[in-house]
Amino acid sequence: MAKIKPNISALADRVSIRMYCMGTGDCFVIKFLSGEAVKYTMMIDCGSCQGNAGDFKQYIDNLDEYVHHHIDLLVVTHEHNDHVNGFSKCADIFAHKNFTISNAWFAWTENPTDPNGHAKKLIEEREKAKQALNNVINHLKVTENERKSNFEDSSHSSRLIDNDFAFSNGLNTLAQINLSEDVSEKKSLPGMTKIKKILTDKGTKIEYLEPGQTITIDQIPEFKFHILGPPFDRDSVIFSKEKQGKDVFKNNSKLEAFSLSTKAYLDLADTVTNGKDLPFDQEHVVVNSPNTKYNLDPLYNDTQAKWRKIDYDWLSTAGAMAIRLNSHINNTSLAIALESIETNKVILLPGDAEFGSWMSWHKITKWQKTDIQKVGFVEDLLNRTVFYKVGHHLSYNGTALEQGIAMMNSDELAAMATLDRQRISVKWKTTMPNHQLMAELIRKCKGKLFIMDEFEIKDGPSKTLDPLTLDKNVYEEGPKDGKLLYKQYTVTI
Amino acid sequence: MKQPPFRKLRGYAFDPSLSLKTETVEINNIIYKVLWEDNLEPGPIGDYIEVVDYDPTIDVFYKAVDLNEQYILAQDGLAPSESNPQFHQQMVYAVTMLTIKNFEKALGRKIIWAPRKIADGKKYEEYVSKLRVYPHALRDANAYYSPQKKALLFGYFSSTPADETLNMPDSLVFTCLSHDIIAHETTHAILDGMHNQYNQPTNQDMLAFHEAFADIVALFQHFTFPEVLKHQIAKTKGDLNSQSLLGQLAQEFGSAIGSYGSLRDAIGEVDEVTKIWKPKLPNPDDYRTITEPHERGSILVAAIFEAFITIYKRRVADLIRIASGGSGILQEGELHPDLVGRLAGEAAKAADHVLRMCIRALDYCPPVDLTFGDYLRAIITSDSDLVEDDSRAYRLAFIDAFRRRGIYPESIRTLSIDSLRFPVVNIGSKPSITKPRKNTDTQSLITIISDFLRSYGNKIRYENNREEIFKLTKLHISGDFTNRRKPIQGLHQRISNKFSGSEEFARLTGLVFDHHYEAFGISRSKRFDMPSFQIQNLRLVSRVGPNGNQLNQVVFSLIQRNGVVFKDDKFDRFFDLREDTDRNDPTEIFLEFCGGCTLIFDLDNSQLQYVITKPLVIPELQNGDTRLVINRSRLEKQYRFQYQNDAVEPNEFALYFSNGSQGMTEPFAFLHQH
Repeated sequence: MAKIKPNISALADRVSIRMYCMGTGDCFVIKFLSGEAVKYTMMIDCGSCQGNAGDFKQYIDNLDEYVHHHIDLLVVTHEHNDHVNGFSKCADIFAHKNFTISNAWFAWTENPTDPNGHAKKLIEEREKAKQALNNVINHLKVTENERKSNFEDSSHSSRLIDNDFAFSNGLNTLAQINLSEDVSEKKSLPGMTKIKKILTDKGTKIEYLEPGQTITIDQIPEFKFHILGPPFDRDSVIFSKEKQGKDVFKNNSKLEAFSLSTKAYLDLADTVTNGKDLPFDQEHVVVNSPNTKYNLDPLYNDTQAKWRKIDYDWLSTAGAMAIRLNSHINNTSLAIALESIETNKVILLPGDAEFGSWMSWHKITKWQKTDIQKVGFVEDLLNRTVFYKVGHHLSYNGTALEQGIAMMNSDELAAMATLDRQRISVKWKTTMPNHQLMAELIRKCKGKLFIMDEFEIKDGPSKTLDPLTLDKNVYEEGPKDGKLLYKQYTVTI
Repeated sequence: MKQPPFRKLRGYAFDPSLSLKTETVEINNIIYKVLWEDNLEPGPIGDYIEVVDYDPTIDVFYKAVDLNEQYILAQDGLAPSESNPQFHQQMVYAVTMLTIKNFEKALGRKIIWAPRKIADGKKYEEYVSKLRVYPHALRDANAYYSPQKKALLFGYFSSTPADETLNMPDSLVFTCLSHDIIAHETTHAILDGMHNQYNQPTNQDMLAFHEAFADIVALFQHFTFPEVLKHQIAKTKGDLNSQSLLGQLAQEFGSAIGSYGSLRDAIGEVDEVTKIWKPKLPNPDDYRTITEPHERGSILVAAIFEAFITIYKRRVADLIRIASGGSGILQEGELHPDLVGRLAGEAAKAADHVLRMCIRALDYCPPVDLTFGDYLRAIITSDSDLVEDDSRAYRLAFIDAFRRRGIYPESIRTLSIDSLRFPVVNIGSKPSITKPRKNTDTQSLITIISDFLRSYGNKIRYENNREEIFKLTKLHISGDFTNRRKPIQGLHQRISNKFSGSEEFARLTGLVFDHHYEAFGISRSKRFDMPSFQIQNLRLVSRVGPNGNQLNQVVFSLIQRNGVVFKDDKFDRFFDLREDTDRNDPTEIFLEFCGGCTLIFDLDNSQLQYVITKPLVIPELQNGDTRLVINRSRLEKQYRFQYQNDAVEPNEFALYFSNGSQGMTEPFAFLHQH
């Protein structure tokens, strides 16, 4: 399996983490170094919110060269375009016969043959929601003119149109990450389908991992890979991050709570009309009796009262559903804590895990605190974290506070965030970065928070950072002239 | 034969889930006594509301209920049923009408829905006679008032309940069957008709107030059902720690269907260990530290509820003494049914009083930028005007409850009834003895205005048709220039003419009435060379107090706005909101700033009694001269709230799907999202 024969005696003394600056989205290469020798090469994700194959190519070419056409371990965290679309857009590079990938890790939620069937059920739910979302987006496109005409005689019709647009825009933004560009593609995202196919073709060893697993690798036995998430408990995957009963309906935190609207959205594309699911018996419905007093159709469809119609308001539920779908998929992120046996330092790679997943790490049964321990195992890992790949591009929901950042106490802590406000859609900007979170990270890292691009970021971390603390062995941006392809930070083990 | 006073309609006191529990089933089915409407049509469509049961999610109409059908009339309406949409229509009609009536009783006038703003330049706005109600408009655990459509939209959804013994998994839950949700949404609509600026989030309290107020109405409306109270009080069997009983009850009212109870979390909680409900102790830091609209609203709900408990306790102290032989501790065992009846009666009465005080205070609120502190002052002032002798210390109960949560009005030095009461200005024909005014000009001008208002009051007093009230009021505001030879001057023009250049009036109102308006970025009036301003909500307030004293007031609000540009977080310049401005510089932020005041005229004495203002401009001493300058402290506060770190979007949903809170056309749809 391994290309280089493991040399147990020469322990890795550094881990260098390279973040490709392809636009908001993740693409990392992690090298385990012993002196000049590269002991092991790991790659995590490949994607960006915006850009096409041409935009991506220069980064992936650089990556190809940097890893010498070989990856020891590829980790695909979760099925969002900003983490996987590079695999399909630059498929030729990855599929090339000279490019080799020895091992690949996915989360258990991606396992089509998951023995207890949970993964399959989650995938089904997700696919239904995706289809429904697609239908709503199409329906909004088709009915745009009619909606506008309903606003016509209002004194602030332009504001109404703006608001209407904001909603469609929000849906499209979420769709950009969650759905395929090609509407006819109904199953997985092309990036995910593609990489799985490439791996199968290459004969790569694929593993689906579960929380609580600890894995050691022959070439680098001085490290342990602890799998934190995605949570096994279904309820945490489809977790609501709000306080129950505070600002959410108890019943509505799960994707399946949208079943009723999802059904109606799925019917939108159907021409069948009699198959609709009525909430009442058919006898209560007005049929073919235009002029009875029980029929308010004429009142509702009065042309003078178009402004009161509610033909499209119910589509707004798709917004809440899209947010839930997005969180749901984020929470299926494969989250890894990489621990050095020698020095106990930890590198935390959570994908885009949200609050629900973070909370579940602390509850993993086999890592529960025993009577003699002061802190639980996961808390201990967080205490010792020296590098943190910031979850979900610095947004409010990618980093837990009390159960997360507050526990990261190491003096050496550094972090990388894959946010570039030049290459992101407008609507994501409202949540990225979250200023409180960013300020806290800057404080904890003493400025060693490396954001893909600080464009439009007020009080960014570079203002706080003392450049003298970083020599070239620690931090590098490349290339120096021309377009910035990557930022790289090296952790000394 | 005389028409009947009520139409009796069966309905749920809470929501359908309580009809499934044996301990609550008997109190959950009650009979609503709804004002008899003679010309009620199938829908039901009455004078105030039209229920249109169209379900857009599957594009069908459900048959409209005809409440005048013989069989339905004969059995007090349709029997409560989740599976009959016609009953749903009956339920929303009953609760909406009850809520409307409660407002009308407290206010002493008819409810008018917020007019619709239309693109037609001449008409500007249009009368809306009926609020539209859609009982099955969404497939979502949501319900909201749409200010654009003047409609209530109710959703239904399939539940995955925490307690599967009570609700079948995947059973349907209809928000239009919950008393609390209907009352809550109706209140949003009524409040919008009274103060349509209140859905503009210019400070942390605005959206929280809308939510809290709607919840307060829903809550106290429950307490006015004596059957419900009786049952609950009897259940305690002697252990009458009445405070926690009523508190728990208040919370349970809302919790059955999810987040509508969340505002009441501040009242109390169930102890995790003992499983016993206990009231939550108020924290004086709450008001300063809690910012999320629902949580902030819950502070206000808890304050009002505590005031109610204090009042109730005082009211029943004598009964408890009698029943306990002076010990204050009742004997164990069942309470005497007479005692239960009396206690429930007192609770219902106290609830009714509190509800009325809360509603009446709306007439004494500033038209823009309301804070909880202002609301407390409005409650105290309106109550002091009507009830001279506060023998049961109602006002003190309110002040105390607000104080315990750290809600202090600005610029008040002490928290007493006197200092909280808005200062009486008394400008008019009968000069105040205590405070002689210097400027007799203003005095005589005010007298002219107040004479005009008196004639308005006389015309409107006996008008019962809501559309006529609307038209007459509009005529008195805008005047009528259609007949060129006999133009009728309205209030708007009178104020423009009379107070043009009046420094004293500007100082009183905090608004600009001289020719320097352009310097502040205030638009020119469309008709005259005067700064533009808006008159809102002209109304007659005619109430009779408990001692038979009659209150005769005309109230209206003035609103003025300008545009302000902030550059790099600092005030940069003013701009005219009506003009197209280049907004391409990303370092500049364009803000709409609003000032306003509520003027209360006492018709009996032809005096301007109160001026409750949120000034746009304030006088400042410059080189020995006083000049009007922009109200910086309020402006900067609004900027900080809307654009700086303390900016809060209502929720995650708004982050993704709105254009920011300023341009929001459906604020409640967003507020209730999850």
